[in-house]
Amino acid sequence: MSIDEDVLRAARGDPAARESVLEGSNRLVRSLARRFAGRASVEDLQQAGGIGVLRAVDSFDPDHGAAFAAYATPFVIGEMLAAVRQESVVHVPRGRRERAAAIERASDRLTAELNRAPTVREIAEAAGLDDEAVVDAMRARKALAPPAGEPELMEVATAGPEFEEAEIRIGLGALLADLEPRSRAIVVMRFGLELSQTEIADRLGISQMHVSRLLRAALAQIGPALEQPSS
Amino acid sequence: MVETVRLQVFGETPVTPIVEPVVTALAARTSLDVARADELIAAIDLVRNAWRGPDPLSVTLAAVGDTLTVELTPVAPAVLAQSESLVSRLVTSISTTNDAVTLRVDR
Repeated sequence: MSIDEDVLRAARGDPAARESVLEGSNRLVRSLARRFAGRASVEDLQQAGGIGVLRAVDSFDPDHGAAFAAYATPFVIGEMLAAVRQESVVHVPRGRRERAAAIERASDRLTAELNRAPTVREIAEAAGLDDEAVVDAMRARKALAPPAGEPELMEVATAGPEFEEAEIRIGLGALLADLEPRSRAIVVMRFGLELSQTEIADRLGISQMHVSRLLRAALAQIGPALEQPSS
Repeated sequence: MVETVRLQVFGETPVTPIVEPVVTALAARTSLDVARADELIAAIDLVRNAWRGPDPLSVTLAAVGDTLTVELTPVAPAVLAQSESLVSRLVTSISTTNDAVTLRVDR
């Protein structure tokens, strides 16, 4: 029996057929898992791949002409990407993540009160932690889900000739174009418009700490390219 | 009181995970705000791109009063030219010798 026939039976809820489709998709799943090697465990990737296969089974329509393997591939990759993202979160112990969230909240509150970024000691006092716990928690900030911000604020912040002129002034050209839009906006505002992180946070509707994370990530991306020896 | 921490970073080891906790801890002693501390870490990362082996990169961090200084050596300041304008906006001042770059951040 072909895998496509198994898929049709599996889609009708036949448990044996679902097992058979999973077995028949093993090679595809293993092959796609290699793309994410080292970013999550092999077991997690294969398990995620299996979920992707079963999701594909539930919506597969052979009348559309695509082979099941081709149809299932984006489902499998999607689940594997989710597993990779989950892995990066899981690696930070819950206690550290909670402390990281606590310092982020304290930092947001203090930034609003003081109208500037707070010091480590101010955050420690506000969060009821000692300096060392704050230093440790700050390293765990990457584990926090990034806030989405307000799309309308993003549009307002990057509209107009002032922003375009600043973009040209900092002279990063194509390197700037390679950044995702919000990171590009932050780089232009920090270096072209010379705004502080707190001012950028206000304009984009996100926290100062998140501005800081995005700025550092953007600089880490463009930095090595800046120092390439010219040929 | 002066507090000094000297680190050696070998090969292509990423420098940020090593200097981040040290800068943050020293920032706590100098009352530097967290945005300034984070920007100093980003500046160190940019300067590190100008490191030229084979000797390990030496990073000396010193907290004096309300000032934090970081010296990185051996680096080639000439190679830094393209990113110097970015680095200079992330710190209070930047100074260079033949094979070293010193970053300074005031409170």
